This record gives sequence, C-alpha cells and structure tokens, in this order.
Amino acid sequence: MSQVEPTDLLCRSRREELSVDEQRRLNESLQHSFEVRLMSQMLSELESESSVRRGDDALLARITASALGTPKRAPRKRPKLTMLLVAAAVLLVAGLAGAMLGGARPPRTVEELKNFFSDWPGKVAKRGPGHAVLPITKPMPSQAKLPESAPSEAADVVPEVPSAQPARPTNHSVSRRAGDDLKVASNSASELFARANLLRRQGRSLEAAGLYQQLLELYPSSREVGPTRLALAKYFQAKQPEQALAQYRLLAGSGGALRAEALWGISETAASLGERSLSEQALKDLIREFPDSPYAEVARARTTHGLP
Amino acid sequence: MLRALPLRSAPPQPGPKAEDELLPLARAAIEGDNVALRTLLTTLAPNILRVVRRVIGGSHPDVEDVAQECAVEFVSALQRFRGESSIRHFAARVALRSAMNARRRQRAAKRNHGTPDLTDTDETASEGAPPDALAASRASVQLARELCDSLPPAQAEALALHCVLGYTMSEVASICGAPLETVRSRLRTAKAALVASALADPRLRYLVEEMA
Repeated sequence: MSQVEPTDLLCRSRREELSVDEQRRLNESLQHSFEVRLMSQMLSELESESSVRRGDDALLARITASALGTPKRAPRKRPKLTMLLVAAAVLLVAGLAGAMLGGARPPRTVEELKNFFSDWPGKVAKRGPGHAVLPITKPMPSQAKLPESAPSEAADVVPEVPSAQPARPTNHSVSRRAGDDLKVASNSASELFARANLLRRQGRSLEAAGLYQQLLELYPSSREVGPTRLALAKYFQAKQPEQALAQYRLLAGSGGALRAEALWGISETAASLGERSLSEQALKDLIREFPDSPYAEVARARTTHGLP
Repeated sequence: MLRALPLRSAPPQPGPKAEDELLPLARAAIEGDNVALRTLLTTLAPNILRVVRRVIGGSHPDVEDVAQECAVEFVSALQRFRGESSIRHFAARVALRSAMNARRRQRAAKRNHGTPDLTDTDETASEGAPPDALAASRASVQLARELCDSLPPAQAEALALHCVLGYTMSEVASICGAPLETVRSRLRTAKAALVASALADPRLRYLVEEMA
C-alpha cells in the first residue's frame, strides 16, 4: 500500500506527473476529502493569480536589473547595530556642532534655533558683496563636501541639490532668497512625494494618486515631478489608459533618466489602446536611445517577433 | 520488487536535469562572475515572481517591489548556498521568506494606521458578485495566507511551500533541510488548522455543501 499523501498527488497532478492509477486515487480523494478538495481549489486559484501576464517580460527585466544593481542588502534591511552606530555618530556630530555654535550661551528655544539657521547665510552676506560666503564657524563634515559658493543661476531655476541636504550659501542675496523659496518648495514637494509613496505602499492607491496630482499642481518645477508622473501613469495604466498615456508622454518629453521607462510605458499603453504605430515607434525610440536599458532587450525581442 | 522501494523516501524530483544545469552557474556567480549571476537571475526571476504573486496576491500593488526585494535577498543569500538543495529550491525558499516577511510588515503597517486590509477586500468585494465557486476559491486562498501569518514559522513555511507553492512533502523536506516525518508532522498540524478555519468560514459553505 502506498504512503503517498493525497495532497502530494494533487501537487504532482498539477505538473501532469501522475500515472493512471494515481490519478484515479486522486479523483477518489477529491470526492471524499474536504482537505484535498480545499487544497485543489486553492491551487487552481493561485495558479491563475500567478500566471504569466502581459508586461511580465519587462517586469522580470526590472527585477533582474535591480538585483544586479544592488548586490548588497536593501537599505531598510540594514542591521540594527549599523543603524545604532549611525544614530550615535549623528548625535555626536550634532552635539559637537551645538557646543561650537552655542558656546556658553543659555540653551536656545526651538524658535530661536529655527531663526538662527534660517538667518545664517544672511548674517554672513552682510560682510560685503565681494566676499565669498563661508560659514561663520568651522564647517561640518557634511558641509565641507559642498562647494563654497553655489552657482546662483541654478538657484533661480530648479534646485539640483536633493532637498534633504543643507542650503548652499550664495553671494547674491536676491538669488539666495529665490533659492530659499525654491528650497522650501522642494522640501514640501519631497514630503508630499514621500507621503504619497507611503500611501501607495499601504495599498491606499486612490489617496496616493490624489497626493501625486496635488504635487504636480503645486510644484510643477520640483525634481519629484518625473517620478510622480511615472507613479501616476502606472496608477492610471490599468483603468484609464488614456490618462496614463498622457502622463507617459509628458514624462518622455521632459527627457531625463526616466525617459526609457516612459517610452516603455507609451509602448505598453498604446498597444493596449490599439495604437499599434505609436507603440512600435516608442519601442524603436527606446532601442535607439537606450540600447543598454533592461527594456531594450525586451523591446528588441518584441520588434523582431511582432507585438504580442 | 515493490517492497524494495522506499515508499517514504522522496519520489523522483521533477526536472533534476534542469536543477543540475543551474549549479555550475550558481557556483560561478558565487565566485564573482557577473555574467553567470545575470544568467542565473534571468532564469530564476520568473520563479521568484511566481512565489511573490502567490504569497502576497497577484494584483497586489507591491508585487514588483517585493519581487525586487526577493531578488536582492537571493543575491545576498547566494553566498550562503552550500548545495544542500537545488538552486531553484533555494531561490524559492529565499523568495518565500522575503515575501512572507513583506506581507507581515504590510499587515502590521496597516494595523498601525488603522486601515482595513485593502488587498484582501479588493479580492472579495469586487463589483458583480462572483459565482460561489469563485468566491470559495478566493476565500480559501485568503485563509491560507492569513494562516501563514499566524502559524509558527516552521509550520507556516511548510504550509506555504506545500499548499501555496504546490511542492510535494518530500520537496518541502528537501527545501527546508528537515526530515520528511518532521515536515509531515508540521503539515498535519497546519492543514488541520486550515481545514478548521475553512469549515468555520461562511464563504466556504459552498465547498462544504458540495462535499456533502
């Protein structure tokens, strides 16, 4: 008498490995055993859920590329000890900075500290227009890495510095103010973007999409606009492909690092809308402009063998 | 002749040739061959994606993020691969653990934010009531996933490998590096809990009535 469990037979039947006798025994179990019947239902449902679907080739290319690009652990999986050491180092540096800046003065209130840091470049600017703007005190290690004077033109357009970094001092007060305003905007845009991403990760897609749209309206020049358009396009892709296509086109038109992804999105969305020529054109552009992109390989296969 | 066959030992594994073919690639990847690593990842990425879809749900918005996390985890874990199981099984186990952790994290985050589990409600509360059989299938999958979140880790892993990923018991034993009887025992307990939950669930009444 065989000891093979009926659920084992079920697993093997999914791979079509059963003999006639085994299949007969499985059929009997399916009629009499609730457990086997339940598992059969589950496996059928799971198979349809995990079946290959449209766009999987690009998804797999992204998964592979991401794993090859980051051979180390993901940042959020950083060991606790490292996190503690980093936190300790930050506290130590902050303490030293406080001691150097504050001296023997009584501790400042939060409001005073805010004013102090916001006025810091302004106080230095009073030295005269010809002087290079330098911090009053010895620079912090992180500040020392920054250039001593930032190009004022950059501050007038779009801040290139990630919003988390400290403000760069400048020797043009007008530009500095404009830069500060943009800095505030950029900070808010990055906060909005982070909040939207958090909502998206929690599965609250509708709320996330609302925040993404708010970001585009409020901060159309911020550096978060590109990834925001991409996130919105992905959100719209399944149910509102026309809107997704519009976002992808805007993203592709703005150039930059996300153009490859935007072209891929145009191709996918246009194909789903039946706009075959647009889809093919996007693939051709993708192959020509980004031959080393993970999408390009898939795009080549598609253009060679025709669109699925 | 039949008596001579070890009935309780592992039956022939599916596709051993394919598994053997990946071992040299894995060894080369461990030694730092980037081309081998790329080939290995390209080969195994569909398996990883399949595991993720089965564990967190095919329509979950974070499928891509979690699959990427699993692939990164697999590359890290490759250094610890000692050839005790096939590389496909090793990848499946790493992906399963990462995906289950991601699922637990997401559920915890949702609990902390006081919001309902949208993934699960999305699956069951779609417009236009699905037929009973379809609803029962979805409910059974949901039950298995929830049970995997609440069972002790060893039982949850065995249940997920057997009932969610469809590995036979001997394959589960090989993947977990545990004796077959241990796996059998873990699965017996876990499946009993699954059946008990299913019998108590009104969404699965259709299945129970059909059996009766």
